[in-house]
Amino acid sequence: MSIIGELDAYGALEVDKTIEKMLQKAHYNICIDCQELQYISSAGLGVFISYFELFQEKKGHLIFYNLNDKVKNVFQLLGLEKIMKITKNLEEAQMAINES
Amino acid sequence: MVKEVQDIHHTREDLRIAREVQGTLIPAEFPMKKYYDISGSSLAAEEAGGDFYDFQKLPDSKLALIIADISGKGISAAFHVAQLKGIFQTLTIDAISPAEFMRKANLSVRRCFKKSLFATSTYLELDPSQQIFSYCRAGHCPTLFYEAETDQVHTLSGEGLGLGIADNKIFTSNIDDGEIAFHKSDVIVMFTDGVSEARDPATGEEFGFERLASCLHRSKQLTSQKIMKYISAEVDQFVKSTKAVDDLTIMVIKAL
Repeated sequence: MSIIGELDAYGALEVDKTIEKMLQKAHYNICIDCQELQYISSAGLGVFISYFELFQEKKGHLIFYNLNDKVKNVFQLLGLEKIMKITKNLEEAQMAINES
Repeated sequence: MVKEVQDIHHTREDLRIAREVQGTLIPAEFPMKKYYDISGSSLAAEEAGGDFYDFQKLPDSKLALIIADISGKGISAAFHVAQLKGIFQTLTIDAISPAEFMRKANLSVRRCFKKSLFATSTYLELDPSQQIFSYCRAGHCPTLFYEAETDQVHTLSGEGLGLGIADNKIFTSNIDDGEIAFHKSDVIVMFTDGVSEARDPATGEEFGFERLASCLHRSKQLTSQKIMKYISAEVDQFVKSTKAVDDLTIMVIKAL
């Protein structure tokens, strides 16, 4: 899954639907490519936060990779990098899933 | 046609009332003027917003201050502001440390807000008798602290998770708190991300923490009100007076 452009309240609804569909198919390991994600609003972050406990419960993974510095700073400021997995690239994301 | 016009009028009127009510949730004045010169200002990007600040006098002549930013914008965020004010005012009836306040606030926010909502916040406790302040940051923008003795602006940042994101076990293990000497002419500036992330419309560049720190250093000798106005004017000039896309809140506390 990849996110392009700015993830605001409207985009958050789309992302929410996509994640929900994946979970319905029991896909509990989701890697999100953020290479072209230029900005994420609090509503955008809220979507991922709302699934945080479900992924924990299912022992799944919600991994973000290829984050630019600005988006990474937003995750850091909010403390999300402590509880959500952020990797440099897809290979590292897959490795993190395989190692757990 | 007439009904549509009436509906629009009613909606506008409701939004005006929401804005007016929200205005009453933030204080117009601050106490303990003998020790502190405090000012605050909050501008919502829409009719109402999700930024909030408040104070509460604590036992032992201490003063609690809070700044918070609730996720989302507009009317829904404004409703949660009212909830957060209730949480703040209730929890500060008892004398509790900033970290304990945040732990309890995290529990309350998790009970009150839906799962996709959260709040970032910084809580300060000013103690004039000890000339110190203690703080706890919950995923909020760093606090700027101008120390007159060294003539330097420090950025108080570190760990700290936003309120409502995770249970208290995870929240507690990520708490960011501290205690700092707060002497005459020292200044604390707290703000929300609408200030630091204000963008130059031509380049897309953000105002950022460094510009804010420079603004504070240049205005350090002014009153809290004037420091606040100076920062706001600099931000406005940076965004070339374009309409704000996020709520803008600044609080300035100067030790007298």
